[in-house]
Amino acid sequence: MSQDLIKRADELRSRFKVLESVKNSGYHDEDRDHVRTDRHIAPQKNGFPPASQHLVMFTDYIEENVHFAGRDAEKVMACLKEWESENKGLDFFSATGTDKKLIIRIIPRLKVVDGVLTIRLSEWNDVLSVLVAKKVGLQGRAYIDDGSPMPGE
Amino acid sequence: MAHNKIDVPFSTVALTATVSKSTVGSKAANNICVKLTEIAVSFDGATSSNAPVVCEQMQSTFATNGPGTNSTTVTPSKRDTGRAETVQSTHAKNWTAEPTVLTLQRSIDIGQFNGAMHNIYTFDSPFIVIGGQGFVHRLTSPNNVNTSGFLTGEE
Repeated sequence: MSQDLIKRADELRSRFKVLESVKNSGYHDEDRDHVRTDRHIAPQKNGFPPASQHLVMFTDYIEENVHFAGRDAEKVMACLKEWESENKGLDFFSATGTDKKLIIRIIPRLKVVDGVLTIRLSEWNDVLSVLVAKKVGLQGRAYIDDGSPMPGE
Repeated sequence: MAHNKIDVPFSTVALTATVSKSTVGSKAANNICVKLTEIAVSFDGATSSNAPVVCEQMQSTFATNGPGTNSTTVTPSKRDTGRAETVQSTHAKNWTAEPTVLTLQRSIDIGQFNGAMHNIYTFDSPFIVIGGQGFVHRLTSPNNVNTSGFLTGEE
């Protein structure tokens, strides 16, 4: 499973690499908002890595899981562990339910198995809150290819 | 779990003239429906003579382009941050390729110059997102304009 997901993730990133060299694709360094021309719209101009470096999540809506494969899985785990260590001294009396759950229940249980990190969809939004706060940049595909077009197609 | 209220905001999503775009959407978990209770949308148009934007509230099966695919994932904001229950539904904004299959439920025109809509569903008639399926708010503007707004829902 892992090799197939890694291949699909790399194909998506390669597609974004091409788009980043095309003006008005939405991913080029110089692309700006049509109306508010002071605004850059490419991720790399808004505090995120370029889309060609984003992590790729694979959502399985049947089994209700989100998967990351290969280096993406390792990066997500590193990101979660970093967040966990930053929040070690969290005051549980005033902490949000999401933060408490991440520290007590979710992060300790997650691990990369055979190159794949699997997160239950029922816990995904909590993990997502960390990834968004860490500004890793995320792109997604369906776990079982559903024929969704590649970006820019 | 019940009465877990959430907001799904989207800010300054660019609409390109005449191109339909799903600006925000939600997909319910398989066995939990989502009650949408509010939708708000506003525009930053500066030309008062521009024709209005067509705003469509659509049901979506998300057969393709589910939240996160060709769209930007959004973390739903829980109203009660003290609760540990994770929001089960997934959300996204700014689709670059339209999700399928879409079925129009409601439609309204909103002026893009100072135009805004805050649709509060009545208590006994929320927009029900069926378990495993979804909702998108699709906008079609005759001119380039940006939109901001939010969805409010409850699991």
